[in-house]
Amino acid sequence: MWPRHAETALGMWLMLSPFIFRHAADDVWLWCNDLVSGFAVISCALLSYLAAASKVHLLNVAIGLWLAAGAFMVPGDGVTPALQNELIIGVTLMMFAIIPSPSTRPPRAWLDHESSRSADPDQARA
Amino acid sequence: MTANRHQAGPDLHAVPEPYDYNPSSWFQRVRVSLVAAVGFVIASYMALYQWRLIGSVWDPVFGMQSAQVLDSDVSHMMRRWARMPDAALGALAYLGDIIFALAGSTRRWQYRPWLVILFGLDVIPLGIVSAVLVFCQGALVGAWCFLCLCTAVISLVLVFLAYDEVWSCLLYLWRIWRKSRSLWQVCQAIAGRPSQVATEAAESVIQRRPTHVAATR
Repeated sequence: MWPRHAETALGMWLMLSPFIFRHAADDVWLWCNDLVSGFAVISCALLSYLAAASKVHLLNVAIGLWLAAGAFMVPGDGVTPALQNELIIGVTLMMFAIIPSPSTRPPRAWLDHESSRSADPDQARA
Repeated sequence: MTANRHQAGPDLHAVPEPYDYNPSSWFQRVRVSLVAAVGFVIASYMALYQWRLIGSVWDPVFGMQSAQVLDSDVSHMMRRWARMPDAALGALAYLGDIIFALAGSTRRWQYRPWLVILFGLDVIPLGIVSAVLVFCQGALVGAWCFLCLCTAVISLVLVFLAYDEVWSCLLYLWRIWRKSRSLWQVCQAIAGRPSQVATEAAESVIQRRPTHVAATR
């Protein structure tokens, strides 16, 4: 579950970003974007601990894409530190979010396939 | 019941062709991630200079030339294009190497080919291109940067350390294609979906060696 831990940490960093990068008080969009995205990232990461919602972390790929896209909506010279922060968090988030939850074990589908083959010697020989 | 069924499990130390070791073993992948971590630290340090969070950059060989390279027009052009300093982009690529190296089981060349391909794309083409660009900096900028050259060497070392796993994975996918002649089957295998053809292809790729020998590599 280490990718989910990392996503949670990134979500926390995102929620702290308005205070670290000192967003202007009237820049409501940037405040909302960081706080809402951060909350959503943490929620998706934590929900993935539930067996019934184990794939929810994939939504963090979309959130990462959204965060990264913000930096490309302004001219190349006008990317503020806050937008660069969102871009870097977005790309990092996408890299973690694509990793499945039981990340160091074989996929369940393959485990089931292999055990059904060993239980059925005819299929294994086929 | 399910847990008992999974206890027998597949051989996670299977050795694929053409090697006499498992290229997906933890030894192989932790080695890659440690080397990438060194690259990540160096690239992050240079990014701190480009963000002006530190005032100078250490260079025991070329002195002030490092700052010239990091502040060059080429670097500024890259920054406008990538929306972040080029050293930060490099740090992200090394971080990707670490993440993709550490994910997956020790038989991921078969069970999660998409992950190995992603890892390969991050390490091999990106590593070679960035290394070539760094080695060209003398001609492009007219100055040299010691730490940039270090990261270029690290990128090439990573290519050397990572290509074997990608090769075994591609060999496995090639066997699936030869057996099925079906692009759909290959795509299913890349996505990590089990099938009879994929199992047979994997068995044809796996070297028949004593398990204890394979496990020690």
